[in-house]
Amino acid sequence: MTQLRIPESTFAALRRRHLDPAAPFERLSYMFGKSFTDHLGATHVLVSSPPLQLSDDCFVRQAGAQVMLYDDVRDALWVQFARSDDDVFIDIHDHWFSPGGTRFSSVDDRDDLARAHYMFGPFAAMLRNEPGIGADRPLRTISIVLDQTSLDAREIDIEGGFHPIERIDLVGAMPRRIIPNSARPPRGFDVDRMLRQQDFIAAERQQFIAGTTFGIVGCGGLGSVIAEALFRIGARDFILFDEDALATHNLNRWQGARPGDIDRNKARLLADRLRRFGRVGEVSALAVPLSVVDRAAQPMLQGCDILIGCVDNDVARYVVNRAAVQYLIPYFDAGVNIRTREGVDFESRVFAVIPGVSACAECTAYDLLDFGGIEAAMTDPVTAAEMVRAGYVSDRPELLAAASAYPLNLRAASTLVTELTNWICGYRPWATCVFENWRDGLHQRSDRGNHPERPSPGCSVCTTLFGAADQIPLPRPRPSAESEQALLQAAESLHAAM
Amino acid sequence: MATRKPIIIDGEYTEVAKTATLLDVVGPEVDSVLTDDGIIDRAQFRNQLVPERFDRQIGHVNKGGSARA
Repeated sequence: MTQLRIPESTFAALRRRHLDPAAPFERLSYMFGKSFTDHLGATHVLVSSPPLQLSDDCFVRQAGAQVMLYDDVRDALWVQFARSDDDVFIDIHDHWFSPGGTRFSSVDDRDDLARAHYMFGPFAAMLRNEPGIGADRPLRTISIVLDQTSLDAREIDIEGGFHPIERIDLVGAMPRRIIPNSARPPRGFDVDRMLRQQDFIAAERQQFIAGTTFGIVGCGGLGSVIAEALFRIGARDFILFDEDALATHNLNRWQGARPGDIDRNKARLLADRLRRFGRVGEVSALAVPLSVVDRAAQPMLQGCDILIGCVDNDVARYVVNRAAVQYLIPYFDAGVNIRTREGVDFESRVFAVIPGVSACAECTAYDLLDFGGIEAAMTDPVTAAEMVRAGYVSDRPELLAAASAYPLNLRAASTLVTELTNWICGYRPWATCVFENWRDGLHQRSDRGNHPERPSPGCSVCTTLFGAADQIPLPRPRPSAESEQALLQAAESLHAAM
Repeated sequence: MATRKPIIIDGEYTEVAKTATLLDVVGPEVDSVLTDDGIIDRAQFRNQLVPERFDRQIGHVNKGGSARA
């Protein structure tokens, strides 16, 4: 099955153009996308560039239910696609006259087959034989037909088979999920269990939550609480990342843990716990006993619909932030801190990244990440050794045990799940950064009303890497087990040679 | 609520719209400005500033409730 992720603004522009009540005739538009597969083998297609919306003088004919492009316009489109770094050619037209429930017509079948025949035949051969025109790569083509209230969408394969698109997720100020008219109906939810929240989570939003795969990155004191809170509001599909095993000192805060759980991997432990909350087969919880920065974890990471960061280090946050923007996955992150000097204080913060809409963790005006530590973890051993020698990196307390407390984790988890629910349901302007300080009674909330921070035009992540998917590898720190040894060897060999 | 805010550029006091960004108040020839918070380059001119009195130094709130730092 194939799913699409599209910026909401892109989809809104398409609908405006195609369903303009002042111009009731059929139009064509095009989008180019990038495909990748997740751990289940499902194909995802991202669209990160604006749609190609053709002006009316591009058409030979343009009537109520018929439209035809000039040949040179069509050729120019294919050349543009050939030169792009995209692999999915998406054709969009409309049945503007249909109030809803539209399906592809026999004329649409003919047109889609003709396009697929050209793309998999002469066009693909051209790419193979004329690399100067564009890179030879595997190709896909998708067709979308819009009507006044819904749409239908399908992929056309090389054999001329039609395959319904499972769903289209719109990434924006409020998440939307469109189920094409030919697709299977979405997963339902247990109405009785959600009875006490139906007044503030509408059925359509509840269905969105039930059909969303939540990636819990870090299954420690925060992740175990947040995962349960998400289950309670209706989440049923989880992918859980953590390479650590539960230790005795985790028992002061790991939600539901017992002494008999010691030494079990936290992701597996949390997966078992979540499955027990539901009826048989109701909860899907995939445990990934790996660090999220591990290359082997990436297929699972990019298969998530929403990422929840509950990690204890900024290197992981740096990688998850990059994954969020490259794969258009909304990302909510929580962090806590306990000050034990000069009077105990409890601090928590939640940060949200909606790719293409809000600033990412790298370009926000908030000072969120420790870039010195991240750079030290990412650089090659030789450079890292020189950075240490030059004084750029000094005595990072990487193995220092951090103070931790269950009540503070509850507070941070509560803020994150409340703000996530608000983003899904839209009660008030959604928050990008919430910071709380217990001693001073401080609660500061940056939201789209008081601080509508956009992706910075100078941010390489939010510009160059936006929607880049697999085309740019995610950053990887040096393997932690080897890093110390490699660092020392590199420094020794470097200075022996001097 | 005031719709204008005071700013001082090169010692000169002026008032601008409350929603104004740096791009609205400096000329096209200006590539960067020096503020109390450091240098802001032109690519950042349209960035939204953190609301007044908000603490923007929150990088230390970065634990996940785990023993590892």
